Amino acid sequence: MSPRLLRRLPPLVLAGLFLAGWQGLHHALPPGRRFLFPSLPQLAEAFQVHGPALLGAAGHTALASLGGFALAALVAAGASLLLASSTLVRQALYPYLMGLQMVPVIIVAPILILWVGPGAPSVIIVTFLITFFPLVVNTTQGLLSVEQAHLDLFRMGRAARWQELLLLRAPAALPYFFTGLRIAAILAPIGALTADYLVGSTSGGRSGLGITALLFSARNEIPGLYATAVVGCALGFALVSIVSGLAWLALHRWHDSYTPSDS
Amino acid sequence: MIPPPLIHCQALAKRFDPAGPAVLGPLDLAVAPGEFVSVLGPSGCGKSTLLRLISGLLAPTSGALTIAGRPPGTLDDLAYVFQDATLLPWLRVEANVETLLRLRRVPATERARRRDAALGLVRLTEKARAYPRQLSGGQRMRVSLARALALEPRVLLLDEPFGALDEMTRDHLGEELLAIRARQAWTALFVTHSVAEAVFLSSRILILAPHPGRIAHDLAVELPYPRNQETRRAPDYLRLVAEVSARLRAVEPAEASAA
Repeated sequence: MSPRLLRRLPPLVLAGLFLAGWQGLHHALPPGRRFLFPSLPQLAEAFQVHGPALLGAAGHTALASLGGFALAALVAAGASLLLASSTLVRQALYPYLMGLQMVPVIIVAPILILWVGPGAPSVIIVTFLITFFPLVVNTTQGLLSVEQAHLDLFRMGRAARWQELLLLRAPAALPYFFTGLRIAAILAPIGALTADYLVGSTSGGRSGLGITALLFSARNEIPGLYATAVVGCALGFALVSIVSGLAWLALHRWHDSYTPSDS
Repeated sequence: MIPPPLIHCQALAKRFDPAGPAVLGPLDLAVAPGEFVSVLGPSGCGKSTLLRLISGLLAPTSGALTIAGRPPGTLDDLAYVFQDATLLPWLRVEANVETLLRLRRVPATERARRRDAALGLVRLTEKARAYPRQLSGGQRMRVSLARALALEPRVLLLDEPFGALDEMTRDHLGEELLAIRARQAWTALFVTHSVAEAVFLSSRILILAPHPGRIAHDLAVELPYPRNQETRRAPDYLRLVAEVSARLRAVEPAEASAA
């Protein structure tokens, strides 16, 4: 067997075991309760029946999570630069940032509906609120975690503050920023889905996966709910893959977390 | 006529704790242009502090210090080579060598000229496109040296630059440093722990004594330049190494020499 095939084998075997386990669990339940955990064919059928609806809803949720995620990344980058600029600023602003993360979405939701109204903008705001904190904390940490020797070098070179920030602190913070992005990428689809559930538009054709789940739940469409969960996971994986790709592009040539390719 | 000193310390002193003892000085020192001065001494004798004062990274507590008649930290042609290579890992070798020029807003064409010249001096032209992690420890140190040389310095401060390298690499880099010095006239202040390295490189050796840091011995090294492998076997060289070692041992604190 070729080594390449050998490397691909374990994940494939695991995927097979996972599917077999799923199907086994369905059959292990007493017949009266099997509806709680649909079999694989039932799940496939749900995808077939609700496919177009799920796809449309997934599109809306994907856009909202991307929007909230991108907005959070942008604002976090700017806020981190501000936070890293002085201890005083940091100490003064930190409690508010934490507060932003601590206010439960379930309380923000009705306020948002009153202010912005249900729909995509509200969903994006909630997604932003959920993903912002890990981004800003990690990036700020990165901007502050610069080696003393490098700071000495820049001081010796009589660097201006902006030069130190742009040429030293910002590149040094990139790995931390991407750690934050990875966490945010996992949170964003969950956030967008939850947000859609709470503040999404219910008018036909504009709802996301949250409203879809709400409808399935109301109609007792258990396989449909499971199908929604699978789509939500797929969105998360897609976003994480994009972020991993960007991280690779930005870091693989120099950062220790990527093994040297040619040396 | 005796040229005015390039580095001039008068009653220079540094204490980190205002109430505590002085780490360094008061110390008087005059370094003439073209000298290669090595600074030896036990740990805690203020060798690195002296270098940091001259570089402007630290401010003196008292006394006067001028470099080329100017206060420290105001010179464009003073370069510092740190104990570690301190390369920026996200920049290629060529960009690392240009870093300090970039900070000084030197135009791109001039940057490129000086970068190529400096990489040529340390014989790493073929590694210009590499990232620091693709280099050996010795190569990284040479890039660090090239970054300093790209400033076309008048004063070069070296703080144990070869301390982390193996002896072979260390000897090679020492010889290279002298070869570069023959082509670029700078004045060097070189902090080291190695007596052999100090004797091989320098025209003058300062031995500092601790508590507080002060100059215990100021010795001229009268070995002819250019120096090479032959120098390391010359009787005069070996005699000087023995003499400097003995003097250095005499200023080590009692507990260290007893051990």
